Amino acid sequence: MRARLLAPLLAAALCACGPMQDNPTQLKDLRVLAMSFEAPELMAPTCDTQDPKNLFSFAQPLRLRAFVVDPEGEGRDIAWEVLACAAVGDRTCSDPERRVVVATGTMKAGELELVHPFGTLTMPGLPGPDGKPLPLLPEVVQKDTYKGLGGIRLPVVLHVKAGGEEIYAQKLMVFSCKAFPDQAQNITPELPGLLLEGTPWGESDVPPLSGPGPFALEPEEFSGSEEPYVVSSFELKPVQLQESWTLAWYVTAGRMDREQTGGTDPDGTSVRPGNSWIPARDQPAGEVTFYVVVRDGRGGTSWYTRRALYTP
Amino acid sequence: MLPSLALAQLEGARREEVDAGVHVPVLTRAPEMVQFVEAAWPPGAEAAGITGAQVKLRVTLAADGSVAEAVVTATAGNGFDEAALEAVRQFKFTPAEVDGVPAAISLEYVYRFELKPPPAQEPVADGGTPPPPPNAKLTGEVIARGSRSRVPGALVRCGEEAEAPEAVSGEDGRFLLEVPPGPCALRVVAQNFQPYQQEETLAPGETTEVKLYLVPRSIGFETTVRGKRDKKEVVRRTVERQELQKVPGTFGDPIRVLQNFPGVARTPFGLGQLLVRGANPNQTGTYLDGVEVPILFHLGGGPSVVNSEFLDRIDFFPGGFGARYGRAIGGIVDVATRKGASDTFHGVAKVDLLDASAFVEAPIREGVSVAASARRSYVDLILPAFLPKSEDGSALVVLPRYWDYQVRMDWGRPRKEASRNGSTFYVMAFGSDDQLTLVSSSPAQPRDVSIDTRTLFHRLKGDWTWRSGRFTSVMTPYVGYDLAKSGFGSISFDADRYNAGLREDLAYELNDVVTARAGLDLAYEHTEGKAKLPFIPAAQYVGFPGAEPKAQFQELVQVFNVFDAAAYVEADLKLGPVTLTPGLRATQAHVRRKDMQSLDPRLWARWQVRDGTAVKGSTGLYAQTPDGGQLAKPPFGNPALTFERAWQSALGVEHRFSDVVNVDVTGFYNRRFDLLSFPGTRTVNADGSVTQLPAGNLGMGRAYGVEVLLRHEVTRNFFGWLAYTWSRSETRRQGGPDYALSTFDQTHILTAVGSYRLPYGFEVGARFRYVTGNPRTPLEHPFDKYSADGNRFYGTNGPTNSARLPDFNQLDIRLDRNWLFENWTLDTYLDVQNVYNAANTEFLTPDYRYRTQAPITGIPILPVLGVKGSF
Repeated sequence: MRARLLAPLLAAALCACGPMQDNPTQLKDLRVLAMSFEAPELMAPTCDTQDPKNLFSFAQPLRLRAFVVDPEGEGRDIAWEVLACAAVGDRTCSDPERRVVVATGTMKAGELELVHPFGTLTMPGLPGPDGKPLPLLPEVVQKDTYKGLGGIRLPVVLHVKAGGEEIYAQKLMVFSCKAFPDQAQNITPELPGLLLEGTPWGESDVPPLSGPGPFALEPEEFSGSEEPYVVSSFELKPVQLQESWTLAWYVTAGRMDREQTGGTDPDGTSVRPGNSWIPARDQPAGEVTFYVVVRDGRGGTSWYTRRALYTP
Repeated sequence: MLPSLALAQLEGARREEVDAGVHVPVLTRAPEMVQFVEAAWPPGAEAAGITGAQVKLRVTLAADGSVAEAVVTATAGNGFDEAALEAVRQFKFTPAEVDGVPAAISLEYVYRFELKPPPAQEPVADGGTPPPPPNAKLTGEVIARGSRSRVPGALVRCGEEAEAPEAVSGEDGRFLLEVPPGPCALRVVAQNFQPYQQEETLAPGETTEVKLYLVPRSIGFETTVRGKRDKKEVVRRTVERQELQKVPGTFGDPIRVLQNFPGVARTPFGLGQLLVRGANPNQTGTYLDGVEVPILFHLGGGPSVVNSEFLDRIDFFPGGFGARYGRAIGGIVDVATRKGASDTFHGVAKVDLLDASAFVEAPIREGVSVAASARRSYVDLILPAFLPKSEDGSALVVLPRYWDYQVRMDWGRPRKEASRNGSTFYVMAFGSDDQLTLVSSSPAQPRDVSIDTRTLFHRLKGDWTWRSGRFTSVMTPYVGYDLAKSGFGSISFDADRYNAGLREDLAYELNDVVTARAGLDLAYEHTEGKAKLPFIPAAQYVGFPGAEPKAQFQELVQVFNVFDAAAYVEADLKLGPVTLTPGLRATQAHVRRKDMQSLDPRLWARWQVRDGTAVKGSTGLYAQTPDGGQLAKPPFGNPALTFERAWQSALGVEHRFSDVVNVDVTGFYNRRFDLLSFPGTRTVNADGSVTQLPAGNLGMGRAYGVEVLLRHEVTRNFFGWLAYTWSRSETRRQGGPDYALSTFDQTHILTAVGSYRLPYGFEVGARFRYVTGNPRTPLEHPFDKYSADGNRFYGTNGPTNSARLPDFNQLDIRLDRNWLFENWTLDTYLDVQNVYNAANTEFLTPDYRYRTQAPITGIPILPVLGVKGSF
């Protein structure tokens, strides 16, 4: 439990003894930076499995989005497929019986969008007694060691491949039910805005930056948007939580001071959400692109792109 | 031509002990010479013009004080050996007494030959001779320079002539000579000291008091009685104080010295934990004078809590220990403290990289002595001078601090009345206190940091040893208090533990064949704990990947009692060269509301094949009571926990090449079961609730191997050993995959330790280690695996622990320089770890995408300077 709190201290100590590692904020090769579902959660009005209203709660189409970057790919084709399977621990959906190939295709670096009723997926490799494929969601409950307590979490995997690089990226789609009166379906987190050196920074802005840096980047105040929510304890009692958004930062040149900001440590200490951009020593003049991915800690994800014009 | 002589000084007994009811012989009266025979000057030597020589002999005295055997151990040649042997064989001594009974004893004796010119002739007086003036008295103390110890058995003479008056100093170093007045060529000779001479002029009828400071032949190592302890355990490694303080690379830390013996795996980064024959550190029990020590190391892995100056020795059992010990399924470390000096006030003050310590000991009156030590770190006092000052209103406070203390007071019969029968008592208090505070707050930092931890313990124990004939009783009551407190941000833990216990060990030597032992070992703990912490994902609710919510906080209170009562019986059956020791330990534990019992039979056998060679074996069951906190209700504990258990067996042979060199080869095979395994089971109940146990008795382990120890005991100039272990340690979990190598399995462990005393007060020591690399799970990378919710990657691993880190090798060197002053000794030392700066890999850390791994290397070359003053 104290791992995250002590991790920076331990990392600081250990890194003094080990070589420099690849920096996750520097974008060079093929990366899946973020995935989201809209809505990030579908909540049935009751937890009564016999209630017919619940049958249709999970049937609506859901929009799956993914953000893929490939700076060194120079516009090459990226092959992709979207898979869904039963076990959260199966991060590549490798069980041929308990998986579904939802869609395939090729794309260029950028956003991928797919709309599909994920809640009604069936498993062609696992037919039922009547010969029809069994639905996937009940199998997810069976494979879950908590048997659905806290929500059915359907693992959806985006598999991308380009050149010699290959990534399996997993996103969980949450299907839950209202176990307590004050429970509400999750919504996607939305940042009010971003600031560069204290100045509002819009998506179409390309402000100049000059000098060795570092340059301060931070989100506009968003704590009022962090939703309170309720989960069920193992004893089926309500546990009160509040979202504490984390921000992951990426840049196409130089590096960010920290990979991830925001959130709350287990001891209740809030982590400041601001960050800094540090240009490379020999950073050439030119446009620099920044990406910020916001996660609310229960499946909700959004991302933002900003640009700046750098001169040394 | 007048030979002179040096009287032998016996190696006196330095400790009494009752160990597992086995009494170790104690020299209660040293022999005194009553008949000296002058050796004839060898004719060959006179012809060769030799004017002096020295013959060293090992003399065995019979129980009546006569010389049973004399053997030359350092020859002088030229006929001096034969002359000394012929004379020594005619010596007579008063009988030595061991445990109050006349007994045979061996001693070292130096016979010195010196050629002196004949005295000048005195003119004959004419007329009547005047009456001689009254004699003078010369009295005083013979004292060792530096240590200020009193020197018994020193020969003090006034003059060189054969008829010169002489006296021998007593146990307290005092002597009294009655001599003719006038000039006195004072000569003092004592074994292990350089000859001393001084000119005195003595007035008629007057008493002159002198203090004679003898210079030791060499300083540093003390020799000790190598008592012939009945060795019932297959393996018991005893480490003397000199070894505890001088092994290179251990910073003078006594517990760390044990890591250099066979059967103990190497820990990373020089941490002090003991990993014994595959067992976890918490499965090896550590006792200080019979009382279990709850925390071994300051601040989780720093210096041990026991000051090495206070120690007499450490007995280390890597396994197969007697029924007297329990509550452990790995090994046992039994630390014995020493009583205070009985001659005069002594002390030691030491300063090194981390802390400063002091030790004092003194007699209060006849038979009563006191010893005390204290140590405190000083990093917290000097660190603020080096920390950056804040300019933006931020705060930075770093306070690591530890201290410990030990105090002991002994009552017993005065030395000259010492005999086997009667009582001795001592009372001892010891404790330790660690604190780590870190407060860092600044707008420029990602987060404010607030850490505040404190752990301490105190113990007060008594020891009453009573002997009557063949019966011995040792009673040890104790009380104690432990505190563990920690705060991280809004999280806090506080626990107070009050404990008390009583040991009673009885031993009765029925006859020469049978010795019976029995005892009680009772321990009681009352714990009051409270905690404030957030609801814990995976323990109390289903967390979401990457979630870092602000969680609801809960306040928990736990109050519980643990009572652990054990009784044991054991017997030594000496059947000729074979000794069998069956034993049985029965435990009844009441942990919170759960009762558990264990019956653990144990058996040792020893076959003395011939003098100096023995074959030994052991087998037995062992049990370890779970900590009371682990039996809390879920999700914080598992009320169904029970004993962890082990079956241990060993077979070995030991051979003594000489009085100081021996070898021990032991094979072992251990099985451990019902081990605590984390996490425990998870059950989804019919109503949909979940029971998640944090731990369960689901673990199993097995370890086997061969240990070899070739050892040179502490002698005047040298001690050292060569230790080699070949072993395999595996673990598995019930219902899980088959056995896999455990995390600290090390196939080969080779350790060579040596320390040698050079002239001019120098000592040099070295330690070399070569150890197989720890197992690791290889990383494969066919592709990246990424969690979009948790924003983290996962690796693809090969079979668990199927590869190894590179092998470890390291050389440590220690250099001491001693200066001997009249009243004190100064010792400075330089202890350099990793002399050739080997970059040993301790761990591998993956990059963020688990594509490659980079090594984290251990401690680089690290010199530590220390200064110690003793008086």
